[in-house]
Amino acid sequence: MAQGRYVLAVDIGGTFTDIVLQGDDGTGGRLKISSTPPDFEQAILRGLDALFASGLDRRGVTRLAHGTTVATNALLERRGARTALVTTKGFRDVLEIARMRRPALFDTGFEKPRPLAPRNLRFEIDERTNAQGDVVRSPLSGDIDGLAEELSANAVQSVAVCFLHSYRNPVNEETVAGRLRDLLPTVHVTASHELLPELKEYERTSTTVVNSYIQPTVGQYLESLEMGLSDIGFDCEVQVMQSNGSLFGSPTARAQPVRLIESGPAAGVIAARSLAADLGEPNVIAFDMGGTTAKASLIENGQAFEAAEHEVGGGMNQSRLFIQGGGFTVRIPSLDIAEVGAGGGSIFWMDRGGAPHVGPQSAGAVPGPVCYGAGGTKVTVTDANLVLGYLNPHSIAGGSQKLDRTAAERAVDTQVAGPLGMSRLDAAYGVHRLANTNMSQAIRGVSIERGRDPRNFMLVAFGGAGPMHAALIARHFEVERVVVPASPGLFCAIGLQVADLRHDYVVSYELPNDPDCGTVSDLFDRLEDRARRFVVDSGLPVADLSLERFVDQRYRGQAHELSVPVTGGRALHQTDLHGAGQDFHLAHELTYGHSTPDEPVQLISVRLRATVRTPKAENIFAMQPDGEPKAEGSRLAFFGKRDGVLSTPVVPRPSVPADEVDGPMIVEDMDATTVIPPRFTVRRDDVGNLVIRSGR
Amino acid sequence: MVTVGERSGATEAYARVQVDPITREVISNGLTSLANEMAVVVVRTAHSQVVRDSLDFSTAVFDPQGRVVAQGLAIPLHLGAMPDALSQIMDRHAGAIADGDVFVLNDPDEGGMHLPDIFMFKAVFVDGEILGWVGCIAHHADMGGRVAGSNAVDSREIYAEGLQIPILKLYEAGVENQTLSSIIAKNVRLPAIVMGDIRAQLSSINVGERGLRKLVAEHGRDVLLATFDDILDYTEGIVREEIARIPDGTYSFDDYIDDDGFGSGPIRISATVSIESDRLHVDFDGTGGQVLSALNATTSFTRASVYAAFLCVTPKTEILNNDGLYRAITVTVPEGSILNPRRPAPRAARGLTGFRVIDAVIGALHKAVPERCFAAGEGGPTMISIGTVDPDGVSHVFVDFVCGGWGGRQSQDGVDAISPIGANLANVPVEQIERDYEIMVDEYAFLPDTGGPGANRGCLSIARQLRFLGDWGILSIRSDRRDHPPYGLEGGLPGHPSWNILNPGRPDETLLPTKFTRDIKHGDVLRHVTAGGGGVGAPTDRSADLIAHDLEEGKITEEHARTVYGHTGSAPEDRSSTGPGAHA
Repeated sequence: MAQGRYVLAVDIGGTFTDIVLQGDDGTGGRLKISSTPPDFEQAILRGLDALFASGLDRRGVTRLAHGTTVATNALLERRGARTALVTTKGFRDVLEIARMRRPALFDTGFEKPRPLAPRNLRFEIDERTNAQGDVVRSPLSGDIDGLAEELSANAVQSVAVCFLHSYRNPVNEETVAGRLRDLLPTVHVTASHELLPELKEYERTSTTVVNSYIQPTVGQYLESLEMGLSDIGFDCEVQVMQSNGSLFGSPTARAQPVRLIESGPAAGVIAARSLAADLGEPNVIAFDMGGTTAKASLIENGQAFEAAEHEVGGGMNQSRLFIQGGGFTVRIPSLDIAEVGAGGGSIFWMDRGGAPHVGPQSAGAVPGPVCYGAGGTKVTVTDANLVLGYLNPHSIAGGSQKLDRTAAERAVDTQVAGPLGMSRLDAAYGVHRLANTNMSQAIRGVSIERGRDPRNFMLVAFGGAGPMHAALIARHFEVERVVVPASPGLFCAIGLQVADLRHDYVVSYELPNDPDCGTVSDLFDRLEDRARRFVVDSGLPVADLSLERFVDQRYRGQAHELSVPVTGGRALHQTDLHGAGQDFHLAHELTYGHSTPDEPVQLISVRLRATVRTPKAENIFAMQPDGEPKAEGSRLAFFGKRDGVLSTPVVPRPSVPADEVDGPMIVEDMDATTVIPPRFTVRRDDVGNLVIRSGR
Repeated sequence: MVTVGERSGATEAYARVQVDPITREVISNGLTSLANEMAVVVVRTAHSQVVRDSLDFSTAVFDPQGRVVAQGLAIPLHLGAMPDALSQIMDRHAGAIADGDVFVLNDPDEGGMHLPDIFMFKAVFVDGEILGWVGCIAHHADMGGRVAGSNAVDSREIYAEGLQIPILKLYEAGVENQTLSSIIAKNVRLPAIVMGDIRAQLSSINVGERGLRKLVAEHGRDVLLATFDDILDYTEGIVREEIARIPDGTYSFDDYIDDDGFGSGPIRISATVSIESDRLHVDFDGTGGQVLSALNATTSFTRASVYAAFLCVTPKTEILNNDGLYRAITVTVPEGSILNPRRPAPRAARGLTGFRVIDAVIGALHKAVPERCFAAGEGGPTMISIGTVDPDGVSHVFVDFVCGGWGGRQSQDGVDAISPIGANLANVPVEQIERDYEIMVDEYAFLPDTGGPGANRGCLSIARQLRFLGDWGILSIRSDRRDHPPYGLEGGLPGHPSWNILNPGRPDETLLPTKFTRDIKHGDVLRHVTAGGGGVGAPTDRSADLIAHDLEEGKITEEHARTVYGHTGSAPEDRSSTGPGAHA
């Protein structure tokens, strides 16, 4: 490879924008700067100017991998387009009726999310396709033309078209969407079958409407970013992180922005997967704890778990496997990430019955924890961690933030210790434990609820607060080993560096009879043609393309499928399908603890995963953020009743020995603090990871 | 500090150890997530549409005495009923419960509710001692009997409603009772689906058993047992505190079920709520007698309805639906009434009666704490079932629960299109119905002008119109709220009545009763309209903004705005509006 070629990774969060530059010659740079809402691209452009000020060749940057919350924010803050829905006559209200459920049983103040296409912008067309895919009524062209007039009279910016059974036969949808595109060239049109050719009208409609709603916002953002990059001398392809943890090109992102709703948290999981592969560890729980939330995700045999559907903006879900009804349903494969409202800023409170709770309310960045001295008055998890001696009162966040320990102690005394009749340290430790319990819900959601025993997994802990809580959470689940990467605070940006380009192609198998290998082979062939065409059209090397085949199956009568890989040659034999059926029983056993091998298995859809692998720099996980290493020392820290207050060595990461040493120990990085409690050991591996083991 | 708690059954007396509040909260969260985990297993493995899509099932964890300590996210009305079933099992089999026993029942006179609901329980043994129970109840798609779906209103005896299962062991010390399994499979129309759902229930309780054992291992027997007591005491404490905030007094309200399906009615549900300090008692004296049809409820179901009504008006999310709640609330139900009938009363359609109990109790509580109460919602989901037999002799049963929404609230309109508060049902996707049954859905939409007028209006009616494409089938419907539409409060008006129309817009158009079973033939169209919710406050007090918004969205027409709300402004023309008429 030519010298001086670079890949840029840019991860934007609400508070910080992280940039990681990686050259194929091993050089690079890292930067954490404040985000610039609402014009998020400004922070990127400024950051890049700073990073390249030393004279690096901007033309040497081949691509920019980007994780962004711009799609999610547009949705949650309702700053999307004026959106209309065009649907089958008689079904205008499907979007608003939704699935009828509510997230809390007795919350009589509940309101459903206001539909993104209001009722007066939901239009019906007299057309119909039946469940067998036969067109019962074709739309009349006069009706379509009248509709187009109405849409422009209503100043609609974006239109979703979703007709019944279009997943079986899209011809009516194609007719109407095509005609609207011709008649209304400035209006964005999304047809549901292009996005989600799957049964269930509400889920398909909702997904399509979300796509339409955020399309103009995301399009404008990516356009501004690309223009800005070009203006400051960059000529690189922009690739965006999808909810499923792989990148896709900016043109596809603009057409199907709904695929990047979970773009933000996905990158961390991909980083954890890549790090685990380097460590030769196939089974990993990725654990990311920040200021407001904690997230967990599972990687098994090197593969991250995916969820077919999720609700956006419905609050934290205790179990995401139910229909909740509190948010916008998006049925797009995304990494299965469980999120709970527990972070450093989560607030301690007591209910009227006197039971203690932590979160989900968060003090956020403003007013922040009591110890930040920025107006916060309520005890947060960070305050408790400071009182316990885990945090350095003189400097966190690279010394930019001083902490007021006395104020934190006073707050813990009055708000926790007094009311619960405990000592100050017991009370602070209690807050720490309650936060751990909440975060355990996230880990439980992705492991035990999916039939996976967490004891068979390693924990990778990152985010600003994750390394402080990881050891005790690991002990709760009897997880033996915790790894804290070298740059816990930039881990998501590193994930963007190592993510592959990928797209899943799915087609429903709607034949009533048992699948025969010829038909299934033909379906795979057609999907492969589409994948190759996509790669060629995107200007990517076809040689780097790898294709994996899956079938989605279930027991006859069930509503949920499990995906299993299909092995065998290009032309499948009947035995290959039989093998996939056997694998389904195994997967069912593994997931739900039982299987019924004598029960018939139904093949529901055929799935092709097309991946273009990206080269990964060898030292990508080794780099630490720039800054002065801190001095060694010690301070008193409290580790619960059994161990009490211990004088605990405090060391910068480079001083952690390569051979295991016993805790307690506190390791301070520029962007995170790692706590190793007593009866755990720690060592630093040759890449700079901290490896924490639970003692015997 | 150590105090001695009382224990009965197979559990040894134990020292009630002091558990610190943090540990208690940790265990409490663990129990709740265990109950949820059990529910997830059911959803993922169930076979029937009614369980996997409508989510008509519940899971719970119990202490060794059979008291509910945690429930899964499911149907409120199931949970209050589970302890009754479990206590009958514990009485009947005291001293003869073995590790690996799995109990089942569906008989309403032995702790069940109606025959389609199969209760399943397993004792959790640790070192030879029962340290808790896990349970799962699921509504099965068919239990046999005269009408497919086993849900019909117009049965006269329980013997017509299907297979009755007394308290029996489905597994005895881990070995399946194959006699029982094969009797169940033989007596239902959908053996593969029903047995599949029974296996889903089994998976759920096995996961529950594993999880509870893990909690014992983690925290120790004594801490866990003491925590059970603490959790229940804690809940009872806050429930009593909430009751104490309701003014002392006696408050009565009557609501009605239109008819029993055999032409008798109306049937009065009379609730008298007495508050005395921190005690709440509900007396149903004055309620109509046991009916000929299957609307009869059980006392356990009546109590569950009372708990649900109380939780609706008590905005405290930290109240767990557990035994601590049940201890603070007492209920008396006259014997021989529709809420406490004598054998062989049929009970399949008791769901409707429970929803009316909730309406009556909330109506009574409104006289005590008006600021917390909402007007009546749609009145309980309408049950539509269609049974067919294909040429090969295989039976098919389509069951659809059609929900409407909520009545007007004190500071908000009633929610349009949401499961009633006594349940948390999902609807069945139209595309799925059309794929799986010989049915085409013509319409599923709101009807304008149907929400009970008020300062805060009730929910809109919803039309669900089905076209039957098979040759011949049996249609059965359980609906209500036609003669007695959902009530309004404080000057708010009742919602639009519910309708069932056969072949709308055709020469043979027929208005059907609220409850019936009849044959249908190819091409027949059934249009069901749910009732609109009642309004709260005088319609003239409705804000101009809300009226304008409803007009813009086509949820009310200009004429309705003018005549009902006295609104004089106009809104943009809405050409896409669906009129209240049928789609021919």
